[in-house]
Amino acid sequence: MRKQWGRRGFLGAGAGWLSGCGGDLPRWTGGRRPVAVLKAAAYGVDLDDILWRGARLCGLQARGKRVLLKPNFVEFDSGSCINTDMAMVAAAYRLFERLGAAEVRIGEGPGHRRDTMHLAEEAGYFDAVAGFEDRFVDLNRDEVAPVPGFLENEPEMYFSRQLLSADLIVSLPKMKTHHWAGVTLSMKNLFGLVPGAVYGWPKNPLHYRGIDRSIVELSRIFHNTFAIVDGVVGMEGNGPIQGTAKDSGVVVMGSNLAAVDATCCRVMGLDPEKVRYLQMAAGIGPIREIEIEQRGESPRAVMTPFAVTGEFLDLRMGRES
Amino acid sequence: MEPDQGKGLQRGLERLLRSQNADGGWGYYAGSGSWMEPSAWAWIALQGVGEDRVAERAWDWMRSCQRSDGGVSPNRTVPGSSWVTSLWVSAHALAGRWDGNAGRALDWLLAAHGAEGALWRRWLESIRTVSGNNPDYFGWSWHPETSSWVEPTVHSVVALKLAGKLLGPGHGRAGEIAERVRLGEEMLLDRRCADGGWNYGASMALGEALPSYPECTGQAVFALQGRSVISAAAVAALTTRWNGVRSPMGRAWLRLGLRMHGIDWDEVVGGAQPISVHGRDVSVWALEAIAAAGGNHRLLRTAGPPKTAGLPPAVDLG
Repeated sequence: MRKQWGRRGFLGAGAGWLSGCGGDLPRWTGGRRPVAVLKAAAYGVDLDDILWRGARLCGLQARGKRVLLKPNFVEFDSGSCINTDMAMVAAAYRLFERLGAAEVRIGEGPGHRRDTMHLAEEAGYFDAVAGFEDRFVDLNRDEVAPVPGFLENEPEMYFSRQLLSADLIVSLPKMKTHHWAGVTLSMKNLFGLVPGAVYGWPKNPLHYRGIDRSIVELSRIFHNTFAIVDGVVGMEGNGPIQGTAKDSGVVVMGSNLAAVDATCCRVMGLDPEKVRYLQMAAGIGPIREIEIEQRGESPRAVMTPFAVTGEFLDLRMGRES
Repeated sequence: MEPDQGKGLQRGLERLLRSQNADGGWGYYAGSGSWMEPSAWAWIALQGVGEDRVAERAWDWMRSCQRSDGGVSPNRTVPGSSWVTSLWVSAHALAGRWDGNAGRALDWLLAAHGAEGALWRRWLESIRTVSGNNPDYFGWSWHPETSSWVEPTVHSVVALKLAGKLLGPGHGRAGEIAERVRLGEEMLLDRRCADGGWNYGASMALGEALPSYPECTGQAVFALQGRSVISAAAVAALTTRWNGVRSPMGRAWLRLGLRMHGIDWDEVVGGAQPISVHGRDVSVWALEAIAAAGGNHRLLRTAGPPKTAGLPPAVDLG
């Protein structure tokens, strides 16, 4: 926490949207996007090799970039699987070091809990990543800078300066169902970028503007992204906190978050074209199977149907709406 | 790795003195830019400890964050008034430096409320049974035009109690202050979790009980000074629930909240407590110093000994 990203980062942060977010945003206007699906039976397997293969399949480049890994740690319960597993975060950290990133940081802004570092400690991150505290950015309570153009009636939205100075934001979610959004994957994980010190715990303005709309808007603003979804053990049912563990044995990777989330849905036995935020994600990326270049395993071959709460039963594959 | 008992006050004050920013405020983490929340807690911790120049610089920084609408922004970068207005009002009431600007901040705080009162929201709650919360009781939100949550309500209730105490029962807004305190306290009681503590403000989700958090429990207990909710049985339950909690913020808030009820958390839990490996949170340093024996927790006392039964005592305006 003590070490800040260099002067270049700070100078760049004020106008961060010029490089990493906001501004004249590139829209997805067609064309297939690659998504890699890799088997990972347990956290004890060689995750370094799996992520390396996934990165190669996706053509990931990170040399010289300032990379911010954004895992999902929202709560701690030793008997549950709420957070991105520390083994996955550590493997991702090593991946970007191996890829030649100039700097790798880990950042998160939990939505409910104020004691961010404590959550990270309980989740085992301090043990998994050497010098974790110096590499970690509390996205809830960092210094902030404005990004213009977040939805209507919101002329600007404030975000962590260290986030805005990153060249590449890596969304590292857990593969989970979600009792409001249906699923929470690489796009919903971006809620943790919103600073609690400005918007509160929870980040209630996002709920008032609409969860689905906010998910899409954050993905629109932060477009220099890559996703690594921890689907080794996911969560089904009443996620994102009170669900139950689901052994799904996969890692899903890709640079287009909509395509990654759509692929994850298929792995989960859910129809992405029925997930509201993905329906709204035109311009972010493809969600139709034909528009996604599946690499590695076929989603159907590794599909493990996730249980959903009653409101989302229609999301299940093969169900008529 | 440091023990968190015994020397909390001195250690906390020394850390605060070392970490004040050149502009007079404090960041959430030492060396980072100033925010109102850590600055207000640091300012309170440093009252009466012989560091008047440090405290005065902090005062000037806090004053610079007031907006034209009377409210206070979370720092100088972010426009728009927010929940930190409550901390600003508390500081002014504690300092006894009440002026027109403080009055305008009080007006802002009294006008601010969670969005639960809106008809559409009540309708939504009734058909979805989203949270189990009673929308008749509303408090304060983190951000304007959003819902009431536990922590901003806690700080607003305390701010109004402190302001009411300073201004006295004859003040023109004493009645409004008392009513908002009553509603805020009722909201907090309504949001209490099934396990006896509090979380951020949702005791239920989709019919399932949600667990409490130590920091929110300490905060709610802090606001509910004088309420019978902190009975001997409740203390015993809290002790069982949170004995062994590692979160520095959770422990700091439990200490401070229970101090307000004459309870020494460290005596209650007894023995060596688990120690967290991290410790750079400026707000926690300040809260630990305030909650320590001999700390400025006494300045934040808004009520006498708790009543033992029934509804809350009248708000102390005298």
